[in-house]
Amino acid sequence: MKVRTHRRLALALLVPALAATAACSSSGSNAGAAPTGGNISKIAAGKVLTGTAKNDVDSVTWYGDYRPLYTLDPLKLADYPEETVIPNLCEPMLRVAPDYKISTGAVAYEQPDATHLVLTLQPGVTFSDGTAVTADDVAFSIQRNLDPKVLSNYYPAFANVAKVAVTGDRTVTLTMAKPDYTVVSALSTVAGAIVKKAFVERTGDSFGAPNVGVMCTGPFSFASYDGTSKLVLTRNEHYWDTAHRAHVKTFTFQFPADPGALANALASGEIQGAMNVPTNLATTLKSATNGKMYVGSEGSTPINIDVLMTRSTGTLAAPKVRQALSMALDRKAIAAQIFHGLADPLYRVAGPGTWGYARDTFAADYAKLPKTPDVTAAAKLVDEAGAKGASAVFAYPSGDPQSAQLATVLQQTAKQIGLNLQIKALPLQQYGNLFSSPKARAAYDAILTKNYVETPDPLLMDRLYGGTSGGTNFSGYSNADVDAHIAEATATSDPAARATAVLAAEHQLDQDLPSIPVVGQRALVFVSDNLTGAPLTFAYMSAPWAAQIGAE
Amino acid sequence: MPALVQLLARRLLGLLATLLVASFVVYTSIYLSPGSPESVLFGGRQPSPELLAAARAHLGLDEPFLVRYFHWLREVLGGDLGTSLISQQPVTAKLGHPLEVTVLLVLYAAAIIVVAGLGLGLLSALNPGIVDAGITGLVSVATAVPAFVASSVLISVFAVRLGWFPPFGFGDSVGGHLRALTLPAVSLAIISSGLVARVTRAAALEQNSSEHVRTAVSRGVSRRRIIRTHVLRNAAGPIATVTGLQVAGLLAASVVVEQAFGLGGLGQVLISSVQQKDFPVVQAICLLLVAAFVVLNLTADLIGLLIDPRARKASTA
Amino acid sequence: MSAQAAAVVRVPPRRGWFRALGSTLGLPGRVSSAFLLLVVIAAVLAPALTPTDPNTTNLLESFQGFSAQHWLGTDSTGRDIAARLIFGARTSLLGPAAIVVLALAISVPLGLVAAWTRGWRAGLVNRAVDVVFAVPGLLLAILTVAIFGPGLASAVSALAVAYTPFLARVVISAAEAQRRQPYVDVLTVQGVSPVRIMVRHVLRNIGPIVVGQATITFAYALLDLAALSFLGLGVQAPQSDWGVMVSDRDAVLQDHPQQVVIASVVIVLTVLALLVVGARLGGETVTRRGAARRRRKERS
Repeated sequence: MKVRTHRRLALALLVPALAATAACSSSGSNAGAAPTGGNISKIAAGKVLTGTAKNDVDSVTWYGDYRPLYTLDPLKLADYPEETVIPNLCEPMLRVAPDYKISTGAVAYEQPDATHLVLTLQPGVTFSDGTAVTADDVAFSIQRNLDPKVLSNYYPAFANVAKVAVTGDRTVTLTMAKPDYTVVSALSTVAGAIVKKAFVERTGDSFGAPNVGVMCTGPFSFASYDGTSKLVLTRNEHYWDTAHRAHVKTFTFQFPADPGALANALASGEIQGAMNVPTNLATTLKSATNGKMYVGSEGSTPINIDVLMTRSTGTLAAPKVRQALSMALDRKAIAAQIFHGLADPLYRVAGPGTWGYARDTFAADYAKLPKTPDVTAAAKLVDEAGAKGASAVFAYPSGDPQSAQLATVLQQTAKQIGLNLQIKALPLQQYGNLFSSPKARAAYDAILTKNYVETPDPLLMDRLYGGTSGGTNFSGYSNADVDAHIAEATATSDPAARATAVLAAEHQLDQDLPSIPVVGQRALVFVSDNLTGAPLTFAYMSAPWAAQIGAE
Repeated sequence: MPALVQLLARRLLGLLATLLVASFVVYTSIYLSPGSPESVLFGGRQPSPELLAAARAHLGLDEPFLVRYFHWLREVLGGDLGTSLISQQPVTAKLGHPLEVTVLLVLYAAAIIVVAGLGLGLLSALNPGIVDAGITGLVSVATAVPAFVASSVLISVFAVRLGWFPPFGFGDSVGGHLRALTLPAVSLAIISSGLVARVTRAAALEQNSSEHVRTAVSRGVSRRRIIRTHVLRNAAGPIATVTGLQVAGLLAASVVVEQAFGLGGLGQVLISSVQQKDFPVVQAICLLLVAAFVVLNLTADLIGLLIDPRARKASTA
Repeated sequence: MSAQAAAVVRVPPRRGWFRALGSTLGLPGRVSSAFLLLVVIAAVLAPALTPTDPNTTNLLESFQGFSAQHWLGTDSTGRDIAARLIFGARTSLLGPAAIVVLALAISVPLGLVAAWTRGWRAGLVNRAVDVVFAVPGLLLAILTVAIFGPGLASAVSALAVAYTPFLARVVISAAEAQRRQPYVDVLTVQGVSPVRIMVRHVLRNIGPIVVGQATITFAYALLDLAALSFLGLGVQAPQSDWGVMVSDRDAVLQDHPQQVVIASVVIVLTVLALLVVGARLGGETVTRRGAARRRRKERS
C-alpha cells in the first residue's frame, strides 16, 4: 500500500530529532558559573570604555534595548530604551563621565548651601539647529519636570524644588523647600536635558513624536523614526562641544524584542553593539566570531532585580511573611542557573552596584547579612504569622525568559514554605502600567522589578522604594524613622555622614522588606570587532555615549 | 455574460456588507476592553481630572457610540486612519513600513505555495509509484508542520549554522529584502503548499482518468499537451480556489512568522499595539487585514468561477 | 465551490459499523487512531504514568540530558520534561476539544436549519457564516485576548467562533446533499416531521463527514492554540502545555533544545494522526484506485 510511507517518514523525523537532542550535553549543573573562554573579555577594575576610538565611521547600528521607544521627549519615560537613546540627542546639562563623576557640561553647577543650586550656562552652547541656548531655555527645561501637564517621570527627584528662576544673563537658580543635595544627580540624568523652549511650545503635544522629533543640544540630531523598529540619528555638525564631536555619521538603533533575534543579529553583524545584553544570550554570543563580549564583575551595574510589594493588606503585607519568603529564596542557585552566572545574589536592594561612595563602610555592613537560605525556619515564620496556606498573586513581564523562570522558582519556593503564590505574566505595556497606575496594581500582591538608579547612590535607591513618597513605594510603606534617616542623608553632602544615615534606614528596611532583593545584574556588553569606544558602565544611561563610538 | 456580471455585482455587495459588519465588530470590540482609552495617552499615570476631561474631549469619547463609529468610518473612507495613542504618529505613517513588509512576505509565500504546491501535486499525480508515494508522504507531513515550528528549525539550521540567510530583520535593498524574507516565507508556506499539492494531485488524478484524457492518449497526443490542455485547464478551478483561500489565510499566520523573525510587519505591530491598548492602530490593522482577507477570498472564488464554466453554472443556478 | 463540497457522501451500513469504520480508515487511519488513543490514555492517566511532579523546580538540576532519573531530561528550571510532556497532553488536548465541541454545538443545529429551510432564515445563516469567515481565526483570537486578557478561556471561545463557519459549511453542504436523496422524500410523504428526519436520519448519515471535518478542525485548533502560546497569548506558564514547551526559545538559546524538539515532534505527529483520521472519515483521500473506481461508477 502506497500511502503507508508518510507514517514511516514521520518516524524517520523522530529518530534524528532524538539523536540530536541526545547529543547535547548531559551536564546541567556546570552551567552556573559565569561564562569564560571564547570571545569573552572580563571587564578589568577601573576599565570604563572598551577603548578609545580614533577614526570616523560612516554608519553604525546598535541595540536600543528591549522595545522601541515610546517617545523622544527626555522626560516622559524613565526606562532603559529611552535612557539609552535620548541622551545622545538631548544630553544632560551636567556631564557624567563613564566613572560616574559629574562635571561641567553645557552648564556649570554650584551648591552654596543645602537649599540653593546655582547653574551657569557655558559660553557657546547651541542647539542642533545652530541657535544659541539661553538661560530661559535652561530654566524652561528644568521647570518641565515640575509641570503637572508634562507628567515628567523624573518628578520625584525634583519634589523638593520650590522655585526655578533665571537670576542673571546666564544663570539659573533653583531654590529647594527642604535641604537637598541630590538635585545635582537629577540634573546629570536625561531629566536635565536642555530642550529648545520655542520648539516645545510650537509642537505642543507632539513634541517627541516619531514624525516630529526634538530640538536639543546633543552630539547627534534626530533624522527619522518609524515608530516601531528603526530609529536613525545623524551627527550634529553644529555641536557646540567640538572636543567631544561624534565619530559616527549615521547612528541607527534597532529594537529586536525577541532575545533570539537579538543574538542572531549580533552574531551576524547586523547589529554591531549592545549594552544591557540579556544574560541568557551569553551562551550563544560566547562563540560569535565577529565581536567581543565584555562581562563585568559583581556590582558592575546598579541594576537590582527584586520582588516589589504592591499591597498594604493581604498575605504579603505581614513583615514575617516577607522575611520568610526572603529567607527561603536560594539566591545563589537563581543567580547561577537562571542568570547564567551573570548576576550575583543580592541581600539588600541598594547593593554593591550602588555604592558610589564610602564603599568600605557599606561593604562591611553588607557582609553581616545572612546569606544561606533556610526553608524550615522560613516555614515556621509563615506559621507564626498565621499565613499557612494563604494565597497571593505575583506579576511579571511576559516575553522575558528569565522573569518567567524566576517567577516559577518563586512560586515553588513559596509552596515549600506553605504559601500559595499565583504567578501572572503581563504583556509589556500592561506590566509598564503597573508602575504608574495604582488601579492596575490593585490586583497584585507583588510584582517583579528590574530597578536601577542612574547615579550610584544607595540613598536614591532606598528613597525610591522605602521613602513614604518614594516613586516605587507601591505598598504604602511608611516608617517615620526611615523617612527621618532619608531626610538626614538628603540634607548632607559629607559621604561618611550620609553613609551612616543611609545604613540606619537600611537596617529598618531589611526588617520591613517593602521590596525583597533577589539578584544584582552584572554588566554585559557586546561590541563588533571593528568598533570601539563602547561604555562598560551604567553611566551610559545619562551620557551621550554614542559620540565615543568609532573605529580603532 | 450578463449572468456573470450579475454574479459579480451580488458578490461585491456581499463583500461590502461583510466589510461593514466586520468594521463594526472591530470597532466595538476594542471599546469592550477594560480600562478607558484615554488613560493610554498618559501611559497609565494618573492625570488631573481636567487633563482627563480634555483628553476625552480630544478623542471624542463623550459622544454617543454610534456617532463615534460613523465619524471613524467616514475618516477611514477618506484615508485617515487616526493617530496612534502611544506615539502620536498618524496611523498611516506608522503602518507604512510594516505594510510593505507584510505584503512582500505574503506575496513571496504565495509564490512558493503556487510553485511548490502545483509542482509537487502534478509531479505526484503524473508519476505513479515511488515518486507518488514519496511526495504524498512528504506532503502529508508538511500539512502538519506549523509555522512556528518551521521557523525555529529553519533559523537554527539555515541562518545560524549555515549562515545562508539572515536570522532576523527585513534587510536593506531589494536583494536584502528577498534574502531576509526567504526563511519566513518558507515557514509560512509549508502547510499551504502541502494542501495545494494535495488538491492538485487529486484534481489531476480525476482528470487523468477522465474520458477526454483517455481519448487523447489513445489518439496519440503528446503527454505535455495533454497536461496543458486537458488536465490543467480542467483542474484549474478547484486548485485556484484552494490556493486563493490558503493565501488569504496567510495573513493571519504571518503574525507568528513576523514575531519569530523580528520582521516588523503588520502582525508584529498588531500584537504590540494590542498589548499597549493603542486602539486606533489595532482598529486600523484589523480592518486592513479583514478587508484583504475578504477581497482575497472573493478573488479566489471569482477566479475559480471564471476558469471553470461548470462551477459558474452551478452557482448562478 | 469549496473543496469540502467536492467530498463524496458515504452512507455506511447500520450493522458491523466497527468493521466498516476500520475499512474506511484503512491502515494509515488505524495506525493514527491507535497513536491518538495512546495520547489520550497518557493524558488521562498522567499522574499514574510519571512519578515526578511536572511543576517542581530544582535549579541545580536544570538542563540535564537523558538520564535514568529524568528520561527526557530537565528544562531551564530543573522540571522533568517527560512529566511536563505527559501532563501537557491534558491542556494540549483539552483546548482543541473544547473548541471543537463548542463549534459543533453551534454549527450542527445551525447548519441543519440552514440546509432545511428555504428563504430568509437560510440566507441569514449563510450571511452570518460569511461574515465570521471574513475574520481569520488567529486574528479573532488575538482581538479576544486583547479584550479579555490572555488565557485558555479567551483563546478557546475565539477559536470556537472562528472555526464554526468551516463546520457549518460542511454540515450545510452535506445536509443539502442528503436532502436530495430519495429516502428523504419517502419519509416526508410518510408524514415524518422534518425535525425527526434531520435528527434520526440525516444526522446519522452525515455523521462521518462531520466527524471527519471535526477531527481536522481539532488538528488545526491544536496548531492555532500552540501558535497563540508561542505568541504568549494562550496557555500561560508555568502550566505544562506542548505549545508552551515549544515556545521556550530560551532553551534553544542555551543550546539545550531537547524540550522544544520533543514537543514539536509530538505536536506534528499528533496533528498528522488527526489529519489522517479526519481525511479518511470524511472520505476525502483520493487514491489512484479510488479515482478510477469513481470514473467507472459514473460511466456505468
